[in-house]
Amino acid sequence: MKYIIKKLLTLILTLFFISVLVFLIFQVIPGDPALSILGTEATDEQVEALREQLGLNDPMPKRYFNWLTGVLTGDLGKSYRYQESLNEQMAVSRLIAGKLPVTLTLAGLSLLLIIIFSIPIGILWGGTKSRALDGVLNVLSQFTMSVPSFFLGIIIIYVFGLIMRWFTPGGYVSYREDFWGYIRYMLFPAITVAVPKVAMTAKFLRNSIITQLKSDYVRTAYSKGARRFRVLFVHVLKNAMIPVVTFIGIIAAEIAAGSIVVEQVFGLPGIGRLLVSSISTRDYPVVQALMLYIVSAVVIVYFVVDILYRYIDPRVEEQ
Amino acid sequence: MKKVKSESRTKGQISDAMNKKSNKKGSKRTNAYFISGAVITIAFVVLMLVGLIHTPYDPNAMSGAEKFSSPSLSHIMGTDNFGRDIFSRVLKGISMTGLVAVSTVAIGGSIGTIVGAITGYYGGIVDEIVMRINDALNGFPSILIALIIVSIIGPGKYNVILALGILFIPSFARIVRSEYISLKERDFVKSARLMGAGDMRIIFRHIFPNVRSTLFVTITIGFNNAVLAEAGLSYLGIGIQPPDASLGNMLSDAQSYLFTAPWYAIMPGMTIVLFVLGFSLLAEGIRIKDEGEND
Amino acid sequence: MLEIEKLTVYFGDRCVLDDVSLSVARGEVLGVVGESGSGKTMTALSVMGLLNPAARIEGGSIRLDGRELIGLDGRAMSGIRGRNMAMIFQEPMTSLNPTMRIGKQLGEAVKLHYENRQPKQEIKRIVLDALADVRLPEPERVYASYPHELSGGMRQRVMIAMGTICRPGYLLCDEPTTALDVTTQKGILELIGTLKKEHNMGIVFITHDLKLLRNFADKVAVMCRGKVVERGTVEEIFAAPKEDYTKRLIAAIPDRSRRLAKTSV
Repeated sequence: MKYIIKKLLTLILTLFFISVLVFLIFQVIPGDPALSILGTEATDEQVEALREQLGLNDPMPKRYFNWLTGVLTGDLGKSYRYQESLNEQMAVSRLIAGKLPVTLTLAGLSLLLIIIFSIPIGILWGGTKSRALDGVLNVLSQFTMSVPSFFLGIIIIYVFGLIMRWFTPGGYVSYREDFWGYIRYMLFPAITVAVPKVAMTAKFLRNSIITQLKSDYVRTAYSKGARRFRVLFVHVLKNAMIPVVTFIGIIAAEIAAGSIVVEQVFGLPGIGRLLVSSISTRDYPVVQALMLYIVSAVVIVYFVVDILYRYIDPRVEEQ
Repeated sequence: MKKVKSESRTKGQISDAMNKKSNKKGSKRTNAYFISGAVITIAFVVLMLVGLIHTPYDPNAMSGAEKFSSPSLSHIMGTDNFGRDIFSRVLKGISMTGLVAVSTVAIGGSIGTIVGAITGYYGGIVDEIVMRINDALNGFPSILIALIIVSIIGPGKYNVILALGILFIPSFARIVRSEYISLKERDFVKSARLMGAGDMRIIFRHIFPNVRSTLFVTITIGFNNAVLAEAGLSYLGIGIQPPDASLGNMLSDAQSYLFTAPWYAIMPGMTIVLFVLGFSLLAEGIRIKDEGEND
Repeated sequence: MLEIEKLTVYFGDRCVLDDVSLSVARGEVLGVVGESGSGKTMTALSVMGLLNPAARIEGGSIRLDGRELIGLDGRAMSGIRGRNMAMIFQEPMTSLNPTMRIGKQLGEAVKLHYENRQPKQEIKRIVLDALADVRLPEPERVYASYPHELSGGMRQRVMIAMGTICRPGYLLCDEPTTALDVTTQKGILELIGTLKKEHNMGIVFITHDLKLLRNFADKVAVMCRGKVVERGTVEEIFAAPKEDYTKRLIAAIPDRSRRLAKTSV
């Protein structure tokens, strides 16, 4: 309990530093936000009035405080580019809220696939005595990890979309219209995100199992009369899974990044695609908000993994 | 090595030198990973150099008559939507990607090594702070950090090099630092210090040669990551910008014509796969070799 | 009788056990002494059928109460391990599964060897008896503990309880006291002696420390470089060592503290 409180305080402190950093980064970017909104033909008076209205003339700590209040209450300013109506810029929070479900589905589905496939493969790989199987899996994983996700996505689109016609490339349907059609469409991007991570996680689990199989307690289990299958599943697996939990946490953070690219490949209207297009169009309020949220999400995932780790490893009470 | 070991045994102990022949067989065994990795990598270095000085066609020459011709003897990888020769563009792309990879690894590697060496050697509060920042950066997916940096400094060839270069500093620093921490307590460092060598001399002349093999693996993995990151950024349209050919932006163009001209995507895509595979096989090979020697 | 006859084992192309013959009867303690790498542990592991897969038995015979063990398949061997003979290892700190409670680890040994499925309560009773048998205070608390919550001496007692829970005829102890401090060592040694008498077990006690065997072993075999170089009763070995190697081992006794041998391969 003490540990959780300590970790929670560290988390809050980290999030605070991240917010300061993200705020400062966008202070040094050249360009006047007021000018970006109004366009180049605006008069000096108009720009000045908007600057005053946006609070850009306030001292920096006050601006940070205002911004942070906005972040915490869900008010992230307005997009430079997206319009709600003719005279109204779209609120960043609305923009993000509209795209978030897609990204969350993609991440959740990929993580599910990773866990479902990597653990059995890892166990088989770590537990096998066959050198041939070990070699085949090793070559396969090397190859899989060398395929960048955007190329894998293109191959999947070509093979399953264009040739087999299992889905219509570019034919994204919203979950509001057709939930199962949505899931079916999301499955292929999720596979694209998952494949290289399955290889990585399976290999990590394999190495962990092999390390554990060399431990003294394995010899003890054998000397009790346990057989290989039992040693592997009852004794080794739990110990081998402990570092894998942390690893899957890192993978979860990487999925956030992996989905940026994959959303682009499959034309999914998610957070990643929004981030990329906002970067190219210099829509800084959107970039700033997304950056803050993605980085915070990563930090929070690590926090959860830390807590989980303490929970599954009985030895941590020692420290 | 073996000799020192037996001499250091205490008198009362009886040597167990029982057939402790070194396992030369294991370490000399030809390592398929290493060899195939080296062959692929050398081939790519050659292609990269060729791409810098000569391509069969002008990579930017358009030809309305030869749009989307499939691979043939005259265009071995076919042509694209503007009738440009894909092979020539792939060659240019390899050179560009290679150039970016070499520069970024050079920036990240040299700064990271210096930071790692100095923090590892001196330790203390500076080390603590630098490593905390390092850990924080290491925790983040690299493409995300690259995106953040590019979003600040903008896209383009040199900005990509800068962004990826900065991105690679932490991993080099971390690895070099841990090597320095273990090496600085060794006898050869102590004796160098006794002989009056200054800190800088010890750091760079005495310890550094011992770090080289670890550094080599890190550099190999660095190239691997650099190629993937550059291709990824260019694919997203925020890396290498159009008139410059890059494997990533070719793929992004090719995606629109996937049905009519699948080779347009497959050629640059497979090139990236092989490029990366070469480095990862090389790294795996070195790892296996080291393991064999430590057994 | 546990009999090892002319056992020869190769590790790759080097010979690690050369023509080793040893025997121990029930109720008897055989001390096996030698330096690290002399083949003591290798001998015990051969008996248990737990040799590293890279090691090959090239010749000889191992008989447990007349039954040949060499060549038995995995299933038959695992039926014997823990049931008819058991082994205790040097490192109590790492020999127990760190993520499994003590009670479950001991219960597993019971479950593996009782033909009929025992009810949970019955298994728990057997385990608690075994924990009390090795003179562990508060068996209930130990039962629910994880290994890291116990001291080194307690863990070694747990290991002994695990080894003897199915009442095997023979117990192989591989330097069970080396990793422990002197007072704890004494307790463990006494415990093994007591259990031997109570359950009429044959004990093979492997050590690099000849002194430990003085008031404990019935007979002693001295091993060096994979061979048995000398054998006899404890009195004979101490009074009139024949081999130079044995003399040196005896001479090394006062220096014991200088090198707490860590590994013995």
